[in-house]
Amino acid sequence: MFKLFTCEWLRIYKTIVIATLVHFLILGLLINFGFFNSDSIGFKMSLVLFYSGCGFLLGITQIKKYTKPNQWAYYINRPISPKTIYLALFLAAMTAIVMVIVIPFFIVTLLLDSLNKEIIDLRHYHQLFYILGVTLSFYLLACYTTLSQTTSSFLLIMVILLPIISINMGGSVYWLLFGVISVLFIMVNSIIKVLLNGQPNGVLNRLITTIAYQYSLYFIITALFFMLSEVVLDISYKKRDQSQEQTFNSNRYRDIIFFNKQDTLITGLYTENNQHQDLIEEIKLGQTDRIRKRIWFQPTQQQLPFMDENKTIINDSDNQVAWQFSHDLMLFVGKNTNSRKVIGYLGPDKSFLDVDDINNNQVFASVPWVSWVSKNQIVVKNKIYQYQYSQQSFRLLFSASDDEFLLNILQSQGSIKTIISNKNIYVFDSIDYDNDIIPLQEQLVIPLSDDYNNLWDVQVTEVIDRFIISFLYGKSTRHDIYNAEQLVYEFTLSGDLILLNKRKLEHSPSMLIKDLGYLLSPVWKLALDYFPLHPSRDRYLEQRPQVKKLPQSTITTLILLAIFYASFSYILSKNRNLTTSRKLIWVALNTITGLPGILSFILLNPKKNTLELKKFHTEKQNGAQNV
Amino acid sequence: MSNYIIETKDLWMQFGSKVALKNLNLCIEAGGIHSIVGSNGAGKSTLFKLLLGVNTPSHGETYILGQNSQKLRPQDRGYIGFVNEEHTLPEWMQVTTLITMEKSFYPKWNDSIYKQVIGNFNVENNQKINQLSRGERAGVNLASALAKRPKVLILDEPTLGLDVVAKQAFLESLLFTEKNEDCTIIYCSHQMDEIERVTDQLIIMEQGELVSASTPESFCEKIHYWVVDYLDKVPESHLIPGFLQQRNIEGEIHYMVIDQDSSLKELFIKLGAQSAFHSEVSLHQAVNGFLSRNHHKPNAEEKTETSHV
Repeated sequence: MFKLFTCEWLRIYKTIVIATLVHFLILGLLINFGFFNSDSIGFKMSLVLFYSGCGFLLGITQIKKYTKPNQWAYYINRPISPKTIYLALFLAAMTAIVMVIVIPFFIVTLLLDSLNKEIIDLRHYHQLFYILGVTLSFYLLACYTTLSQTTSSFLLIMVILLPIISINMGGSVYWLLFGVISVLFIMVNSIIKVLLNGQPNGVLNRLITTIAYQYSLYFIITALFFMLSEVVLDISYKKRDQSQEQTFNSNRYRDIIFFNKQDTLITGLYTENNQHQDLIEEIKLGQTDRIRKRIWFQPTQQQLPFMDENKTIINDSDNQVAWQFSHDLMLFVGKNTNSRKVIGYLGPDKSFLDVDDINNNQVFASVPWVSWVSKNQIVVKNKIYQYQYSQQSFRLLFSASDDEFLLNILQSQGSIKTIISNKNIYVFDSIDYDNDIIPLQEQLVIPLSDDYNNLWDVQVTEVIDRFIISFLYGKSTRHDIYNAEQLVYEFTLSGDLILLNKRKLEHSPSMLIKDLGYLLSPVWKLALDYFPLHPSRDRYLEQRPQVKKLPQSTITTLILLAIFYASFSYILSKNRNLTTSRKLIWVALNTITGLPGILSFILLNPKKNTLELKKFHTEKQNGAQNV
Repeated sequence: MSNYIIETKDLWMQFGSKVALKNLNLCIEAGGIHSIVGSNGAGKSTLFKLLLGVNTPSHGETYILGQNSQKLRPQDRGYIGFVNEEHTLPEWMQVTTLITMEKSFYPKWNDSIYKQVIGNFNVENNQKINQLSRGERAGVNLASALAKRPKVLILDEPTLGLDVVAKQAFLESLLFTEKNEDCTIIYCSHQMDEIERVTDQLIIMEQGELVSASTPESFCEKIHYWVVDYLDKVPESHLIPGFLQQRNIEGEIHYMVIDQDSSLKELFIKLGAQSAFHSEVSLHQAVNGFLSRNHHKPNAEEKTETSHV
């Protein structure tokens, strides 16, 4: 095998040297223009996709070269197994990826670390494994598509995109990536044989390939159905009469989410007898503001840099200091913006000159989230701190209970300020803040009546001597456990809270296709709903124990569809070159895996080609003279 | 376990609606050089791919060295040599590096065979494969294939595009090996002069079917050449028994027929011939005539218009 590895290495070494130099050049330019360690998630994604493209290109060019009929016959016809031949090629490719992509990236990271140009944490080095993993997974996909010689294998891109789009995975993304690479390697290994027909050998290999195909198909089908329903909705929305009266009467969630903030609030006050008409007129005269959720995923320690929603950096131009958060130290590290020298460290309570003087109680317990709106406020789980430019230290603005996590920094709505958490909205008097009465003491706590994930929007308006606040729920369709409803309260800063109106809203048709997942594939729907995510990032964790109870009509449809899926699979299997036991396994499997099961069956089991053979056997039976 | 070195049973190969091999039953015994000839699309290369197991038959089975081609183990492949018309080699390697690599896979590698064969070609060890001429490349390919000491060597049009000198060197190397090594050679070529020189058994394939398998001599004995001068009208070809081919050359009709004796002369006279002469045919002519029997059956009108060759 080593000789074959050397043979392949001899073929590609010149390209590797050139590509390495080009990569160094690109990285140099990125550092020079300040893009390396950029806080733009789009840029970071582009970089990952660029490396993915390189991996894919390597796989295609390498394997295409060897799978030309004469080349394949030349390499395969020797006393070593095809799997060993592929392993040599795989190792050569992996070495190439390490040489071209990982090593330059590592050297540049190390250089930035040692020259103190940036705050480099362990996670920046972890990133190397991530890049290697993503590039390798694309390389393996290219190998699979080339070796299987079927266009349908491109569907598997859904599998390898998973570790890239799963920024909500936190540290679990490494395991996911490892899993994806393992699955792809097994799949490639199962079709590497003398006969390149894309058919995996062995029961386990066939099962893994089938699972990968079905996963991809399930996602594509549900995405297509969802997009289709959105198109239908848009068409129906445009056709609706847009008159003012009808708009305010609307009880369709889908309509209301497109209203402006004031109209949304007014719609929440609609009753049949127009009992809030005077209040509506008052609201029209005032200014309506939104209370927004901003933190989608709680940051986790040592999360991959590309998972950062924004860069944890506070620029103190008054003192010419940039405070950047270090995941290694769990402190902000201050650097002089001119000399780039470290001038100190900042914990939640005080600043330090030397890192050795700090004990574990003086560092941040969680990774802070820095707002891009107000660069001096940071959210650390259930606490908000404010950076004091004069003292170069943090002060605690507000602290919610330990079982809560905040969803944004302090927001301003006229004479009040608010903080939203996963459980409550805290209301403060702006005068307290203006008079520097810190930490802030809430005047009122408004509990969220439904899960915060289901909360689309909150609008608040100040009217004469009180405030009107409206909650619009119905955002999440997951598990079908959320309502779509609108609740409007009035409150005062003295602590009074009165529910003015509560309206049940109609689920839009896209909500009606909530059972579609079960109808398409009950097994896949359940498997993906209960796929474990990183606990700190699983926004649906609280809802998981609630298993959805399907309505009787859906259960009946499911049974009918299962019979259809089974019968259709049986009919299809007649035209396939399969043993009876394999046919029966497919039929049984497709009964519960549904449409993705049937499609994967069609894609993985080509039709028999018996036209001429049949003719021949008929002739033979008729006693015709043959050769 | 079969006694034949190569055997196919009820072999069918279909690509879509195109039938490449049609119920092929072929048995090749060990030893000697067996040439497979046939026009383009006869199914020769398809047969080789099936024998090597890189394609799967639509129906039937192929055996090589007594093993089912679809179930060949890596150690079985160590005894099978394959040289194709492209002389596929890792062109980025130096000859010496390539040979070192190849040696590592084959414990029975015979350096003296390699040197003996490569000596017929003007190849430097430090040359890169992509710097070699087509003939030199063929030399390296053949030398390495033979040095592996295969039990069966499949050559798929190996002399295609070679000049006379390279072709000569290639054939001499082949004959040397056949004499000195226990190797069965399956040779596929369109060059009848080469086949005539080296072959022990001639296998003819046509449109995916096996149509003849015999020694070249016995095959030539079956084919007869007649030059007939008709007084008047040329009779229709279906009246000539064993008819394969006819040509009109300067007013005389040249027939090629199969499995006929000298009594055919009387028939020609009966059909209005002024004279009829019998002559021997070369292997080239015999195979050509045999293969053209389905393609060239002119009717009476066409015969008179046939251009002079």
